[in-house]
Amino acid sequence: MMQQLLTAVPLILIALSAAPALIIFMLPERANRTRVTINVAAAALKVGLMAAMVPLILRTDVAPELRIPFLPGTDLVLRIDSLSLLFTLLSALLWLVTTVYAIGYLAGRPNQRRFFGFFALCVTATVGIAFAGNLVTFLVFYEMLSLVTYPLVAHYGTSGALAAARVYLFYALGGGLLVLAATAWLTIVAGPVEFSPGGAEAVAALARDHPGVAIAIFGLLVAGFGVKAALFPFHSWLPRAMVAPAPVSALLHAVAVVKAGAFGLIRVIDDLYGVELAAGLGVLTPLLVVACFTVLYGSVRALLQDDIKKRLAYSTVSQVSYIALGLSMLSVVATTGGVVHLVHQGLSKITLFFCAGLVAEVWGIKKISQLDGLGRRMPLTAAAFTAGALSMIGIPPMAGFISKWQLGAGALDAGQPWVIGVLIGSALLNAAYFLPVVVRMWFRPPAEIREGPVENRTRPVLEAPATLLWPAVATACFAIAVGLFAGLPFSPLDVAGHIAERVYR
Amino acid sequence: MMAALWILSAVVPLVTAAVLAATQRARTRRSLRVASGHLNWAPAALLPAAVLTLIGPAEQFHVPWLMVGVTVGFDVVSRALVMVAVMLYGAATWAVTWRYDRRAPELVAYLLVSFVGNAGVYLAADAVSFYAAFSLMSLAAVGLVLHDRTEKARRAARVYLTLAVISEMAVLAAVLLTVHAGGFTLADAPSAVADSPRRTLIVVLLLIGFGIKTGVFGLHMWLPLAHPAAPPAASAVLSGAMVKAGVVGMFRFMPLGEAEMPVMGGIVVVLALVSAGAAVLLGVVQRDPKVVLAYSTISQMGFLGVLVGVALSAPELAAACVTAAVIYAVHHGLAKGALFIGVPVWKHHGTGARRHLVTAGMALAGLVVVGAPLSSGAVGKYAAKEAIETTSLLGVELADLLPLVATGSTVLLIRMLWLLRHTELEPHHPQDDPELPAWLGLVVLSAIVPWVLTDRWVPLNSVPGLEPVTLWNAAWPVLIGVAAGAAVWHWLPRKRPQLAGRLAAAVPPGDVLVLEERVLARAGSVANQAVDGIGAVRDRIGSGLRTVNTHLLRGVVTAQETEDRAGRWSVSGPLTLIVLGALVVAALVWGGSTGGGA
Repeated sequence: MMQQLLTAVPLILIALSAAPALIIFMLPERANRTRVTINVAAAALKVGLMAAMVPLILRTDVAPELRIPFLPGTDLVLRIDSLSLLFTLLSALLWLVTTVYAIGYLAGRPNQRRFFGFFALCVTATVGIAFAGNLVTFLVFYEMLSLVTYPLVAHYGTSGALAAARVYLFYALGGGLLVLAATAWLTIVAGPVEFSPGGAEAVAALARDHPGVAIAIFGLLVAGFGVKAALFPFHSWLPRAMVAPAPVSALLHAVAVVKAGAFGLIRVIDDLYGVELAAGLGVLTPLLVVACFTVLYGSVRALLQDDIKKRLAYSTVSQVSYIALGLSMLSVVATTGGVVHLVHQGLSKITLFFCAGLVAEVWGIKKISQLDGLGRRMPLTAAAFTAGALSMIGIPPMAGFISKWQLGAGALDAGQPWVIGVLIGSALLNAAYFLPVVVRMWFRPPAEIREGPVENRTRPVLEAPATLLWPAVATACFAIAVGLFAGLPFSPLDVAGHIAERVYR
Repeated sequence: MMAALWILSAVVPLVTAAVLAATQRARTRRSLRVASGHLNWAPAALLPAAVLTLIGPAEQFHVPWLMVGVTVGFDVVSRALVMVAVMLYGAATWAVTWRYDRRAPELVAYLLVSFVGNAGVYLAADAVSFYAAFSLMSLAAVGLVLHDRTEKARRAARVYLTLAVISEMAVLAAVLLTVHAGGFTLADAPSAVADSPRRTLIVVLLLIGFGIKTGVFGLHMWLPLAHPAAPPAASAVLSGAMVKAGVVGMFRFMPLGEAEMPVMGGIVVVLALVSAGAAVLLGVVQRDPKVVLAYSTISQMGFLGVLVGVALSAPELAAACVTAAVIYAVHHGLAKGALFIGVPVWKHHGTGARRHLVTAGMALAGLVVVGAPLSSGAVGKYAAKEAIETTSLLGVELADLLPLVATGSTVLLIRMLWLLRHTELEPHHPQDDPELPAWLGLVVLSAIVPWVLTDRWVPLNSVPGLEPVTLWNAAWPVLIGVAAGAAVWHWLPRKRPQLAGRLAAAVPPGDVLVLEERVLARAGSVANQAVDGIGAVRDRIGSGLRTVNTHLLRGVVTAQETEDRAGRWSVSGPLTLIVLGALVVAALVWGGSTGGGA
């Protein structure tokens, strides 16, 4: 009975995300209240359910699983283990926060039904990716994610938005194609393979018998997931996708698309091949080098941008590669750092994007040079931005410091001390493009603002409306809290530590 | 109970800072009065920390769930220094409240946050909390430097922030390496560094990171810029407490007493002596009294650097050197702070009968700083001399070189007094505020308190007595300095007025920085040219490809046109048949001949 109940849980959670989408599509455009209620209620319910599952999954080592026959020989497998739990909890929490933000951001604008419908579908796809128990299931939801985020990126419908969305779709589907090729190849040579902590048996056997094939499949998988995870040279879609509305950029960067790519990398390296096997095949070092290069490249490009969202986009390119960096070093501490950075970077980045969207909405600020004196105009927003920026640089006690500390310690553990040079260099570059902005916000007189759609821009202090402001402040507080209280049990660092330990046998 | 006291000591200043930051927006008269009331109580936020320092036990306070585990505790290095920090920050905060202006709450807020960071650096017992406190202190100081919002302050803040970030990153790298070597707790850190195969790298990183903080020559550029730009209360804590945090960092991480590193130690001693000497030369030609005081700080930190270098090269002297350095820092901190705060006091009260009071106060504080006999500063110098015993560098006894630092300090002090004497006064300052008596009280405290602190908490084997030999040893450097300074004071403006003027204009406060800025500007323009060059190459390749593309397209179009024209040619059909027929005949003939031949 308990087993049957547990089997239904993954399905319930996916249905909880998909049902709002269907309902929203069926409601008329002007049914604002109902739509808001459904969105917020579903998001809150999901956070509650996931939080309730935490002690069960982490303490008792139960992994509720659901199998649906799909292809001959391969089932659709949905399984909740600690890694899926971590990722889904993050995405559920951030979905709730982003929903509130999007409600405020898009209030009074057209096409809300389309937006929120695809928004909910995007979250469904993310949950499916988190729960996927084998590559085929992962691929199904991965492609679904690419398709349902296209309308979100192209939401404004301008020619620029459509062009950017086309580029995004090209990259995303191209990556999906690579993953499809790799999955098919792997299934043909090794049979149906499922994720299991520390690596699947069939893949280990394949690596023993045909190491070249195993390496080639690994390369294809990493390339395919690397497109979404914005590894160099597949990162160009990300800055271009900044034409999307701010909630979409926030979601894309913090939770859904980029993190899905990184999550795929975690699954491949830790649960499909296994870190030790991958190190034995010699594929981790090239990945490490690519990740290090992307870290530095993204930071340098970010330094040269004047548009706020573009600068944040290149910063994401750089930061997500920290995850790949942590994964490709043979050390428990490094893997912990990579996995926990998934959470920490998500929280910090979403704060920064919320603030960027806020200042654009209220004051029409789109360029870095216009951020002078924001501390006087919007003190709470400026404080949230400062918290996010300090976390990106890695100043204690913010979340970013904890993951950077783990990565640095892991690099020494794994015998790769030069990675510390990359980390320090990247931190210096991050400081170079974030600290001057923070100082200007607080210590310069406010810049001249052109007249714009918001009438009260003549007021000296004009904070954003509550639905826009409180999500930003809330995520900033989370970013501080996960860093400050990282030593508590069930903190992201603790959970990441458990996940990493399972992977090493 | 102790846990509550620890938590209060950290939380109360931070909460007070937050409240003050929020009252920044006070505009109406009533809210201004409330805000001013808050401000007057602000120095009381340091009370829990003061109580903790007085009665706190030696056991460490451990919080396992904060970050990766935080441990703090008092030891012989930290207790006296924290008390000095409490008094200095309290005095600085009080000095700000003497006159309420609109941005005073912001300054006090930054002072309180810097205090938490600064005290945290002294008290940290594990590497991560040390680094966290160090970052907090460095970043909060930006608010102090930028307080006046002038162009000078912005430049100073830019330089300070750049160097502070570099120093933080160097310290982070060193801390990561130390923790990997087994030194997570600071008690284990020196031995862990000593046993590590990357020992030299760690020491170099620590030197860069903490050297920037203490103003070692070459990395000192932020000090002469930040001190004049910051308000005097902020300069007092910068010189009196924050710079000492760098020295404490060196004690906590460097393998003093655990490893013998004669080469590194020698380099450190040379750098320190160069700092001490160069600072005097550069400082004596400056025109702003606060800049002179900044160079004087660099010179005195050079003195401490010699002690660190000796400890590094001779492990048996390490314990004595560390104790001596702590004593010197304790004696130096309060008096330096009093000197800085005295600059505006002179400006406001430098006329009439009060002028003599202020001069006496400055002289007293100055004598403590240079270590005149019978002052508390002499204790530090005596301890240092005892600690380094007979160490020599390149054949010269260090014990002979060290007193010359006192000479340099005296010269700088006299220069500062001369500059003060010739600065513009602002005698319209309201005469009924507590500035003058409060500052005089601070000066007296700075002469007395260090005796008490070191007596109770930093036990010395021997204290300078009243024998004539000891007194003379302390006195002669100061006397030389006084003689030199007085001679230049009277002689130079009269005999060589132009030289005096030219010397004063020759060295701007940033000294090396101006050269470095020029080099950086040049590098920046070269980099720009390189990027433009790459862009031009890329454009040329792009246009080349486009030309090739156009040619190819033209070729295709021409081929297409030819084909069309050939298709329209009426003779093409029969012509094709004739050509085909000829080819078939030729093939048959040729095939037959070769086949027949074989």
